[in-house]
Amino acid sequence: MNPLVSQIRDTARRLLAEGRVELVLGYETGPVPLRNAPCFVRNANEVDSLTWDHFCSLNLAVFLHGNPRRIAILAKGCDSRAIVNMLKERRLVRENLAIVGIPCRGMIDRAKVERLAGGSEIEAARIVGEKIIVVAGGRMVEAPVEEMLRNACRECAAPTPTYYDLLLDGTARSPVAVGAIDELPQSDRTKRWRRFEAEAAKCIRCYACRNVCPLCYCRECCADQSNPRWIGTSPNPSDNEMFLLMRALHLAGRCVDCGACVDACPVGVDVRCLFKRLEREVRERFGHISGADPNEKPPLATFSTTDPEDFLTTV
Amino acid sequence: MTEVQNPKSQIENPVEWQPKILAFLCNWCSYAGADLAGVSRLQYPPNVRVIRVPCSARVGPLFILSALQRGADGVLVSGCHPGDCHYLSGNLVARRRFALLKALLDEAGFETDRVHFSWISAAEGGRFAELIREVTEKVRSLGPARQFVKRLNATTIDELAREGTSE
Repeated sequence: MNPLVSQIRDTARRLLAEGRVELVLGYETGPVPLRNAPCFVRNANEVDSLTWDHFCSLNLAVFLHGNPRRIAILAKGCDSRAIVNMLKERRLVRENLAIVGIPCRGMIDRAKVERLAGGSEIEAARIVGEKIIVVAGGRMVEAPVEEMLRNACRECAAPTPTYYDLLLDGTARSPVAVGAIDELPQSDRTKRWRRFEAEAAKCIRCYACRNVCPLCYCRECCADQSNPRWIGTSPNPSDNEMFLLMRALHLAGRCVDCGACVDACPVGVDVRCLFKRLEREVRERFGHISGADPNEKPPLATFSTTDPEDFLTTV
Repeated sequence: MTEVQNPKSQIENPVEWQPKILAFLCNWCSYAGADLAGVSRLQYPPNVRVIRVPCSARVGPLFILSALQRGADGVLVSGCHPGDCHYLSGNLVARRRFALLKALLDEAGFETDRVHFSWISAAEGGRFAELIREVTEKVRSLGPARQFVKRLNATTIDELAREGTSE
C-alpha cells in the first residue's frame, strides 16, 4: 500500500477522534476506473475508506464553499493554492480549516489513457511502480505514468503545498520553475484564432468546468443571467467563445491551474488554453503569483500607480 | 426554383462599408473632451457611437465583448488620466482589467486593433479628434468584423459563399 495512505488514515483518525474536526475531505476508490470519488468522513472508524494514488485529480476545495463545519481537507499543491485564494477572497473561516498537505506526484489524465487504450472502454487500471497498466477492450496496455500525467501536473510549479497546517511525508514531483514554460508557441494570429475557434466549437455548454472550479463560486453566474443576458444559452459558436473568454477573464489572476476544468470537460475542450497567458500577464505586470500568499489582496481588487500602460492607444 | 440572391457579391463588395465603432467615454473627462472637440468645431470621422459612462471602471470586459459579438467593428474605452479620476482610483482599477482583456484577446487570436483604450482629459478636444481619427483608420484597415460576431446560423453564410464559387 502507498505509505501515504496509512499516513492519511492515521491523520484523519486522530483529527476526528480528538474532535479537532467534524469532517475529513478526502478521496475514495470510485465506481469508475481512473477516477477517485470524493469521500466525506465523519467518524473515526470510517477512515479506512480513504485512499491516495494517481487518480485523485478532483480539486476538493470546491466542497468547502458555504460549509460551516470544522473541516480537515487533503490538499495537493493545487488544492492548497485554491484554498489560499479562497481565503484571500474571504470565502473561508481559517479557524474552521485544517489543511493536510500532501506532496503530489501528479495525477493521471483520463483522456490520455483513453487515447492509449484506442477508444475501447477501460475496464480496470492500476499503477505498478512507474507504470500504469490498463485493461481495455479485453487487452492489456501499459505506459509510463509520467507520460500519462495531466498537462497541468507536468507544468506544476508547486506540487508540494506551500500553505498547510500539517504536511505528510512523501516525495513530490520536482517543481517546474515559475515562468519556465512562458515560451508559448508563437504561432501567428490567424492560427491562434483557428485553435481557439476549434476549442470553442467543441463546447456543449454543460458548465462542468465552472461547477468543478473552486474559484467559480458566484451565486449567479453571468452565463445563467437572463437580464442582462450576456451569453446566449444555445451552443452557438460565438456564445461558446464568449463563455470561454468570460470565464478566463473572471479567473484572471485567480486561477491556480489545478486542471480540474480540463478534467471535467466531457468533450475535451482545452479549457486551460487561455489561462496560461493571463497567469503570465498578471505575474509580469502586477507582480502577483496566484495562490501564494493568503494575506495579499486579489490583483484585480487593487492597483498600483505604476502599472504598465503599454496597451494604451496613444496619439 | 426560387431565385436566391448570391450573397457572395455582398460579402466581397460591401456597399460603401463604414466601420461602426462604439466608444465608452467617462462622464468627467473624455465625454467633456468630446464635447470640447465639438464646440471647437474640430473635424473627425463620424464612425463613433458614444455611450456615456460614469467612469471608465464602469465598463466591464463583458460590455466590450458583447459589443464585438453584436457586430461592432471596433470598441474604444476612454477615461480620465491616471490621478485625475473623479472617483480617485476608478481608472487605475480599470487599467488592470483592460490590460488583461487585451492580452486575452491577443492570446485567442482576435484582432486586437479593434479594441482601444486611452486617457482623454476634458481639456484635450484636439487629442480626442486625433484619437478618433487614429482608431477609425485602424479599424477601417481591418475591414468588417468577422471574428466572434454572432450569427444565428453560423455556417450558412460561409456555405452559401462557397456554393457561389463552385457554380
